[in-house]
Amino acid sequence: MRRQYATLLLCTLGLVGCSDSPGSGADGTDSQGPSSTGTAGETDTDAEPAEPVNLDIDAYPFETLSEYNFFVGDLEDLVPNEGVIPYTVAAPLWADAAEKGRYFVIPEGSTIEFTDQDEWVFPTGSVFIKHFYFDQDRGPAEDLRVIETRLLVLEADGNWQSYGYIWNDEQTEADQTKAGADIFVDYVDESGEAHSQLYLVPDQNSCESCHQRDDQTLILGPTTRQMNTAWDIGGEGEVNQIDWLADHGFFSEPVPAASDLPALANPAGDASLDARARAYLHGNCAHCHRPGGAGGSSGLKFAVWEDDPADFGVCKLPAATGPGAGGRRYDIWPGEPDLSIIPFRMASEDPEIKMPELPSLLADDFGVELIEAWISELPGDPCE
Amino acid sequence: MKTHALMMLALPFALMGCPSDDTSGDGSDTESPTAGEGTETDATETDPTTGGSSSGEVDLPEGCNYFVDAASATPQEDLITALVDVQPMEVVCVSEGTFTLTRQLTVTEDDVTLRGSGQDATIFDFSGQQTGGNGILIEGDRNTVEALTVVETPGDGIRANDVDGIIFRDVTVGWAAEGDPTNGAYALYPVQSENVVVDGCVVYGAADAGVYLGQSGQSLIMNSEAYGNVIGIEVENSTDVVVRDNYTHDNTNGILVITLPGLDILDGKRANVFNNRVENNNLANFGDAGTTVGILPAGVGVLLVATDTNEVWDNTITGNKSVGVAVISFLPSLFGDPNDPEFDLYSEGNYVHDNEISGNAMDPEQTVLVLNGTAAPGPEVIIDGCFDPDKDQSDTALFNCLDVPAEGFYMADGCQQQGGPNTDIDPYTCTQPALPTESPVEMG
Repeated sequence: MRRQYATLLLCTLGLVGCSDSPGSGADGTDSQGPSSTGTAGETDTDAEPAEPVNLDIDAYPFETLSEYNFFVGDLEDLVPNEGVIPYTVAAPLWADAAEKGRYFVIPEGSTIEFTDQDEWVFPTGSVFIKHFYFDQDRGPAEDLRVIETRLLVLEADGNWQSYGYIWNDEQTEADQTKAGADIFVDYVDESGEAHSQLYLVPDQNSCESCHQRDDQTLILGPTTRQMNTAWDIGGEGEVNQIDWLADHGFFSEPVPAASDLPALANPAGDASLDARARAYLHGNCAHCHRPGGAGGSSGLKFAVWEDDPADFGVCKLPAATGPGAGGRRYDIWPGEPDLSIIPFRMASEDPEIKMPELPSLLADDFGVELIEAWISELPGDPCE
Repeated sequence: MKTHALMMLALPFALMGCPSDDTSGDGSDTESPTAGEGTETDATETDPTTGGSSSGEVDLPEGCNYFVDAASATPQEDLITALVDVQPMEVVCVSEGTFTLTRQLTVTEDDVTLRGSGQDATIFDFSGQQTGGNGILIEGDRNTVEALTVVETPGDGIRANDVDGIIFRDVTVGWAAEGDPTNGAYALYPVQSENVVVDGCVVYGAADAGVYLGQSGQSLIMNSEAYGNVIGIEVENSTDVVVRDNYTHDNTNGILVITLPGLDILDGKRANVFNNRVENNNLANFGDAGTTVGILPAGVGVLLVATDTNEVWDNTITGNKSVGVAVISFLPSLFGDPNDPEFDLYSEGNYVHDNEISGNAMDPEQTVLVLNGTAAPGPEVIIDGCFDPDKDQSDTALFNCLDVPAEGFYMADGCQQQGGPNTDIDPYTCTQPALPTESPVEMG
């Protein structure tokens, strides 16, 4: 039972190839698209007829996740409803080793305004849905547990309103949370040793710590660079997500072929060290560290298009760093990760020092090693 | 409005008595504040007058839209929930007592008041905080935080980030450990903000600055006390700031007005610093050695660095062992290479006059000795004498004017532009236009 559930979950999260199309919607992929919402279940012979997704955002938030009808069948199976599109990002934000399942839905008949630099412009009433889950068995078996689901809803004033839901232990329902929660995730590691990890579900207000910029609450993932990556978005095998969305009529105007658009490297992939490091910093730091962002006052600018080394920290004196400097005088000293503030803060788990500040508790060892390796290779004169 | 308060008070009772609460499972792996989260709305919206409460009717305190009680079973959850629910023009009131908080509190709404029951009566204790770089983070505009104390945040105390309008009134923020570099960096930390008011506050123990106003404009810091910090009050890359009627004592430095390189807001000018007591700021520097303030000598009363057109007057500056007042540039020999071509490292057009400056510089620290080249007791007022060779030196607007006793004055020639140090005050005997003394703050 547990195993079967895990497989189903894996399928719907798009982690493995399955005969059931991940994220294909209750009707299969043919009916996906911006005008397909509300037709779920008409041709599906295996499942109960599904209620359409409830996109009446004026009635939001619902007390339980199931009320939105983002998923059909048993909620725990996470089978997306008609029009609920799974996607991934090239350079994800570290979240204490949680894995994420990402989906979005836009109102029927509406389209997305494409931009190649910043966030795509979504129609009012669009919803982004993100599950945070853990594998409780890190060995060959899988035992997945969804902890929380976060929604971002685009309201008429152009702000994305956040709502959080915490799953019950039975994995049958998730209830709205405002204050967040401290949750212990029990798991066994690859050698079978048991662990318990504290995971913090953020409170509703802290969403803005990452998502606010210039007094607007933004969506972070759907930018051209993050979306321009190959994935099984449509349940038909790996395709470029932007091409797939364009082919399925999601954009208001024709967009260039994805191969002609900028892309972030996969930080764990085989691109150059510089490309992987800059992609990691973009995905993990640039939502705050850019003009107008929550970390804009530092003067650091980690967006991948920043090309002045002083802007992304090379021989830059810290501002308002306090003990976060760790006795180091510069954000990045080329060739000297041990003299650079950035990896010191990334490696710390002290709330006073650690970066990013919220909401994670644990350092991302992969990211620290990547940035240290990058700084080791970074050309430039000594800062002093 | 009253239902909010009832909701808060009724919540713990409602949860215990709620038979339909099947959402938290056995609860074995879930800590507070998870349990029952999400059911409070059920209990209160369906029947706000009873809500399962056995506590009976409780009057909402006058002027409060929410009331959070430290005696609640879930005070942190109640507090965070109130800050999520609060709407513009509403007031979240907090009871007396100590709140043990593990998370950063975030205020995102505009025009909200977070009001304790007294500066020394309501204590937010963050010593067990697990996450967040601040105790309280303010992101909305025109909010007020008043009548409470924040202690022992791992990071900064209260930060207001990119807001237009924030009032800190009768707020204490501090760390008990004296001179401990693991204390938080800033107690009150408004940054990239406008219309900041700090009034009647007490800040102590900060490992960087007690009050730190950074990259901000038109703000007022008054009637506050800063002690035991590396810097008592710091105005950094900010413009049109009134700093008056404060008491800064027993910090490493009393008041610092500085412009730092490498920031988007790269200008700092027109701080009007008057009627402050700046006394005995001789605490050994416990700031991080990597930071700018971490390298400052102890025993400095008022320090101006790379900042223009400030006025320092009518202050009492005494007992600071290294120097009473110093006006210097961002000297690379002291602060390092700014690595910023846009940065103006000179201090220009400042006006220091009519202060009581006495009993300082009796035992200068080494950094100051190097600057002034003299044995103790050193000069009470130091200027480095640096000037920007690319500017017209006959422009009187650039003159630093020091109306201070000639005895105890020293020009250090920090940039080797003056043919060596001297004690001739005549080149600095001048006046600059007085800055406005009224509050620059405009609350929209």
